Amino acid sequence: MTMPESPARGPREVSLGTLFWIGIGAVFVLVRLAGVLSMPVGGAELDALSGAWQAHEGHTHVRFIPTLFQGLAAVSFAFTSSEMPARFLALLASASVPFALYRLRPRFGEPAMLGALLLLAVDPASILGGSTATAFGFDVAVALWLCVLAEAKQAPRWAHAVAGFFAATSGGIVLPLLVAMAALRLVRQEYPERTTLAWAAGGAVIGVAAASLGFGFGWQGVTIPPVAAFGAGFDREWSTESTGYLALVYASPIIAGALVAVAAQVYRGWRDQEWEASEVSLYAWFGAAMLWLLAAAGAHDPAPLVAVAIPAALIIGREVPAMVSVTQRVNWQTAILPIAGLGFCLLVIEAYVEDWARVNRVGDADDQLIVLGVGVAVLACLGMLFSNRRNAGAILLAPITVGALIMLSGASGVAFGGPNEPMPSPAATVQGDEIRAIVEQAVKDHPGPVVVHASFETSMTWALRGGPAVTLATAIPADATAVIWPVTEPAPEGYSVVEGQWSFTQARKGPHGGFLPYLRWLTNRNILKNQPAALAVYLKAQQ
Amino acid sequence: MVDVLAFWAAAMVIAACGFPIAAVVMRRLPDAGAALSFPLGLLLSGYLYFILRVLHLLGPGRRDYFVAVILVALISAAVVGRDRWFKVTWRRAWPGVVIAGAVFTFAFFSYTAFRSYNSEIGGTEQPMDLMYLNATLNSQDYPPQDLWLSGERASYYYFGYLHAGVLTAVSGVPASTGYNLALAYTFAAAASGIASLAYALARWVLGSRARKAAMAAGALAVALLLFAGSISAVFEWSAAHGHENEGLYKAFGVEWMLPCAPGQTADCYTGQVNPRTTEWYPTEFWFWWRGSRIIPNTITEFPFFSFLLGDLHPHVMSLPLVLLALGVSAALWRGRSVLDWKRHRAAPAESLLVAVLLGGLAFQNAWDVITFSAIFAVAVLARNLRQLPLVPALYGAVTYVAPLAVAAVVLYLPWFLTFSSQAQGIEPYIGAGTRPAYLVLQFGAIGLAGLATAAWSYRGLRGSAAQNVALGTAWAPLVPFLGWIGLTMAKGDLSTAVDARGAGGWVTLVIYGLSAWALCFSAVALSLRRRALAFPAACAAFGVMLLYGSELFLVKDVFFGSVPRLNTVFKLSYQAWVLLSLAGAVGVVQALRNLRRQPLGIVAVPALGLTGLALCYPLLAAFNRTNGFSGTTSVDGLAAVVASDPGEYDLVQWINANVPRDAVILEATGRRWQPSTGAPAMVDAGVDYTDAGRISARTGRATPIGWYFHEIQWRGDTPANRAEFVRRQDEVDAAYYSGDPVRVKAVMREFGAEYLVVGRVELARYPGLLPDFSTFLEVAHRSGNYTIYHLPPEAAVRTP
Repeated sequence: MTMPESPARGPREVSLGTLFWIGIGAVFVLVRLAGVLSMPVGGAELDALSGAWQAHEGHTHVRFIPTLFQGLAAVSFAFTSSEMPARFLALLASASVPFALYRLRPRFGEPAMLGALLLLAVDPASILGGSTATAFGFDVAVALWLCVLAEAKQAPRWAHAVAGFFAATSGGIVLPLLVAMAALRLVRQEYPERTTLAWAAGGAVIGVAAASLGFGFGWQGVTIPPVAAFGAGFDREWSTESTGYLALVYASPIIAGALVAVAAQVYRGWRDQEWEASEVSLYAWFGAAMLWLLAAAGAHDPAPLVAVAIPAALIIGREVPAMVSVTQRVNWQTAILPIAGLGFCLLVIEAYVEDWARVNRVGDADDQLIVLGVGVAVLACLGMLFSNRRNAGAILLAPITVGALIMLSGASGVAFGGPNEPMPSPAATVQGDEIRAIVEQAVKDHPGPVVVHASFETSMTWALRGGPAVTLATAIPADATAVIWPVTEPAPEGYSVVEGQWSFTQARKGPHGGFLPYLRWLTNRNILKNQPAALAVYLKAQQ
Repeated sequence: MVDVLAFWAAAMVIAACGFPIAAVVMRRLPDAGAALSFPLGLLLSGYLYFILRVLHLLGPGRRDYFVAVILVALISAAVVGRDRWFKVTWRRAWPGVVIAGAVFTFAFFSYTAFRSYNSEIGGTEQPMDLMYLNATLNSQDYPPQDLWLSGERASYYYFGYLHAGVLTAVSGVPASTGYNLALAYTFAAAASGIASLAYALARWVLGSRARKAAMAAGALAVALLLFAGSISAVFEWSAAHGHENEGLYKAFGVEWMLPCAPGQTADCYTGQVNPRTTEWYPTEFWFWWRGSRIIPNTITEFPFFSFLLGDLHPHVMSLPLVLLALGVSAALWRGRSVLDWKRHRAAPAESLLVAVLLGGLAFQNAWDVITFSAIFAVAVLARNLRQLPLVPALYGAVTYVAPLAVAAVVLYLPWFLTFSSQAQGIEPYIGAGTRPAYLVLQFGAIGLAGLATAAWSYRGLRGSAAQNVALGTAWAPLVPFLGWIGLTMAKGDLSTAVDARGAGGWVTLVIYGLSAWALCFSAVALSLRRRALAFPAACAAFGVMLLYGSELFLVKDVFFGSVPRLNTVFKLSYQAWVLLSLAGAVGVVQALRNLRRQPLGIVAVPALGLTGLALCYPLLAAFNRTNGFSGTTSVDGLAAVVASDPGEYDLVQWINANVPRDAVILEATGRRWQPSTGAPAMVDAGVDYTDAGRISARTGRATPIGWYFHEIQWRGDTPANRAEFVRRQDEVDAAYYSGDPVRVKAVMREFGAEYLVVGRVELARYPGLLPDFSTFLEVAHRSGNYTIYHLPPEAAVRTP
């Protein structure tokens, strides 16, 4: 008896979607890897690492916010004083984001999730959140996996416990999602099953208990980490520039895009009288995050930017099919001329304006007239495009291009650790390690206390970690071996100054003064000056 | 501008959080309570914040204010989910929601613009208000600290400051800006609240088709409550332009506005004449102040005066809350079923809300709780009477209200335990009564408007029924009067009391008594006939009874020996102003609309006439206060300090940025000293209403002693308190002038003070007496001549 032959196997086919997932996912991870390797320690990360270090050393401090991530960061200091293990932990968590978005495809659509992944890949705030050891290092991943769980039809009970644990031990970024979900469920009276709730609550209670115990680093008082992190953002200086300023500089394209997308989707929903529950959930999440961003506009906290970026990316992503459809309807044969004209005119305007930005001065009357004239030409090209309804969609290219340029510029600056990038700031300086080496050597040669002025209490922690014990004072004791003192104070007698320009941190401020300085910075991000917090290092003079 | 927008946005968000709850409780109002959502959302946020702080579940910092607001939002979300009528209510009421928001917004920005011309927090009791606002914001534990008596908890009704603190913290503005914007919020919430309430009552009275008339009632209510003032302003204006008629001025008892006759120095105008004013409005400094002191030895403040002056006082901040209480009362009164203890079981959330509201009245302004709780109780009784005979109705009302009262006390127990009232009981008033002329000047407009609620058609009221009601309600004015007689007889002062009142005082008493009787009669009769006008009539009756009561009785307090009924008239007339404004607006519109059928309604015409005269006050006073709307504008209450004394401002900013919030700071007590042979001599012991305690007030850090007399008012005039406060003053003064390092450090350590300030006030209060503190204290910060010193730690170093 012969067995039937098995059918011949043809070549394996890889779908375009799969290629996109792999490609964009790789970009997502690689950009964060660049951040892990290149970004200076600064801003929220500097504060978090300092707090984690102090917890490791047995000191309780307000900088230690007992999120799971910060707890693990403190544990890593048992093996090394470097920030790298913690950063790689954040990277590992970030690497799960493409998988989470992949799991959300059935609900939101594949093009939508690919679009969201691409946006998150190049969003500067998300890069910061996903590649640095801030207290909210796990949050982006946790938020998206919570969405996956919420959309899942059937999930094992232990998954709810895990979700409860991670939600309860995250930073503030998951809060808008949790609040929005809770509010919507209360309004819709969609209460989870008791067993599900019990498992989730159990996980949360364990998480809160673990956080309250500081993950082994001492009793913190009853602490709910997301709330603690949310609140700390208002009180701590996690960035030099204000949250509102950072949002304007880094997040305006994604926020503007999300607002337009929400308007379009709400209009369609109202027109068709059809509202999807998951759609409304996204709006609520975005709304809660935006409220946080607005409330924190005067604070110094980059976390709200990350919190807004996630739902914004999902909302914009859902518009991708519509945008593709609109651009597909364009008759490129008739549209190419006005588009080319538009592009040419915009390039001309851009050249003039960039030149004005370079000299920080608006040009003379002739130049202004030329720009105005070309501006009229721009309007004419737009008119030509809009005159044919099919071609009107081509106008989307302009804001998409501008937004993409801003985001890519920001992403590259942040991910590759631009030396003058306002985020993260204040940044730890390389002199910190040198100062540590100097005082270590001094103590080795001549044992005695290392005295640091009380005003450097917070900035010195990371720089001098692992070094000799220091004492804080406002007056120098006679037996100090090394002294780190403000440059504005007179030099202590009996000590020699260590030559050099020393600082533990430097503040990196963004462009101010209007549109021209901003444009100049956008095109050349290395033009800004850093402001190191200068200090002087003194060693006991040899007799 | 950003600060203003942020504050406005915070108010709108909190109101939005409160709206679903308002829509359940006050569903019967045309806007479903949208306008009253402003105080409701803030009440719930403030209460949650307070109780969770006390329970140590929340801590200091902005975060915890947000947590409280988020909790209110989640509660509202649950309410929306469980309220099956919400969608229907929303569809009906959304225009009202929009209008409420628009009225609030317009009023908020308008007042902010006005206040920006005189935003300075200084003078009168504004530093005290700023101190309490900062106390609620900065206290590391709750109940909050008394910043002017370090180590002690605040002993005052500071709920209003806490509400202002919620808005300040949520919006992220500095306290000195939040102060002014809280005034704007109060003004706007009061405007939208009373407009909404008057509109609702007018709609019920006139029918659902009388929208325009109802809107007129709303507008009139706003005018009466927030703009009407003392008619004496007309006399002020006339005198300023030299058009005074001596006879008329004497008839109205304002002869002190007339220029002095030769040789006369008292009871006349001693200021500059020819010209007396350089503008069309009187330019005399603060002429409008006199409009609140018309009745001698009392304060007859009214809302416009309050907002003109800019003191963020509890009685001002409580305006939206008392309107909320009236709104809840009206909504409950309008319901159908019987209210008794079973209601608490059926609707526990509603009962909890009402208890929070009633307790909040006491916490915000203790004077309000009795009046507005009584109105609430009467509304409950009236509702029950529609279904039941008297005794069962009364029983139901008692079993409904009593648990609420108990719950209100329990819910606010942490405050009650730390509050000590200066009230020492009720005494009969023995003294000159209010002259009828003053009655007209001060309360004429609102009083006559309130009387319009008694102008309705008496046809259909059967003879015996009318007689019974008339006889029954006659006791309303009689009982207090008999009580007054009894108390004065018991004191053996009856003849003195009768003589002292004076003829004018007796006439006023009769006017009040008859008015009260007429209004009580109207309220009861209308209630029996199930007319909606009963509620406004009852409000008017309460208002007049308050004025009547303040002529007969007083609450004994620290002013008893000098100006015995100062506070009583002040607080009760303020409440009466609210009630009569609301009732009067509805009454006037109702009376005018039904003039043909109700000839008595003609009283509305002179009421409107007097209202017109009363509206002269805000016009003249606003221009005087702002110097014709000239000068620079700012909403920051410390902007003037920046301009006039940058060094002082720098001290404040440095402390805000560098000194821990729970630190204690030594600053001048306010008593003035001068060198003399031997020990320095005190030349001025007055510290209240000065810039004493200014660092503490502006920064929210505690100081050992602030305003002495105010602490006496808050904690009681007892020998122990007086001794302790004087001791603190002596110690702090000695720290400044003794020059002894050991003494200075000992004083600082005794009060736990780490910092000592030498600024403008210290240089002025201890001239030539201050030692060089830098020889034994560390210089923490220096700005020109002003310095902040730091007590060096006992150990030289500490390890981080």
